[in-house]
Amino acid sequence: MSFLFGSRASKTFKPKKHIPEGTHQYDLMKHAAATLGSGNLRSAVMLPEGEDLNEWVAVNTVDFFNQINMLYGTITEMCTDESCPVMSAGPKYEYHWADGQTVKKPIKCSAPKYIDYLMTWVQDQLDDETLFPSKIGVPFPRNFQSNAKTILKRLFRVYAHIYHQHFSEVVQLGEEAHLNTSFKHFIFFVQEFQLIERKELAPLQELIDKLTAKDR
Amino acid sequence: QRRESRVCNLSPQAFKFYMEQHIENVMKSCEERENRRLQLEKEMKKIGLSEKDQNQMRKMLSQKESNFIRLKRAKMGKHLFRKI
Ligand SMILES: [Zn+2]
Repeated sequence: MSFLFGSRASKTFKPKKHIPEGTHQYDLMKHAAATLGSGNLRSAVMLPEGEDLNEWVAVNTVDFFNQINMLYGTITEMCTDESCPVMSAGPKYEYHWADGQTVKKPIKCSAPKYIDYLMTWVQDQLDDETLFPSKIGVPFPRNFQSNAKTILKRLFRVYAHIYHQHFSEVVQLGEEAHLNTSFKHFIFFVQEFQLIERKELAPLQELIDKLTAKDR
Repeated sequence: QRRESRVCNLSPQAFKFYMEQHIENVMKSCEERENRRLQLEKEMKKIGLSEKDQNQMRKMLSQKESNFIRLKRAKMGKHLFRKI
């Protein structure tokens, strides 16, 4: 993995070192096939003819935010400062919170704190009329795409945390097909418009390959 | 200066119900949108509109569709997760 993270690792995304590769890292793989009977999601993410790309990315970003918010809402009681003292995605990936605006120096905090920061930050972005105009006729800002990319990159981390640290709870709640479907839709979307860099997706790469294989 | 948490408890049943409805809606609205486009093409062909008028009609439909998803986004974004 060093080719992915070696010299270009960002400050908020540090692969942990000296931890041997887990042999049962993807216990979740056997559940990966479970999705909702969902038709062809791959074609549903494509830009409709004549649609503005920004508008399409915006509506889908809000959608994914809502899904992830709800999903995390079902496991908040199991994601505590005690159970998840750091925001991790498996033994190899750990995230520290910084938003680049009010929090410049990355904070090492528990997963629930991190996710709270993250979701609050995203909601603020979505509520900002200059970033996500909601009135008809108001154009998107010039930097909209890069903004959306940052939002989606961060939302991915919540999926990554849930898959790695809470998947057994998700299975207990019987919502693995719903999670998989939500995540698959998300991945199809970011793949279609190349919105998240491959190295950011690494914590769930195996799962992504599996979930998307039969629809390629 | 931190505000109230954005994260609320939600029952798994509610999440599951939402996801099932949501995916169905995604597929449906995708299909319906394509149908509206094809319908327009068919109608325009039938009455033999000029190429210029056809383009204008296409633009109008696209604009309408675009406005629709903007309003949908505005609605979804602002009210779903406000704590009371
Ligand atoms: Zn957790």
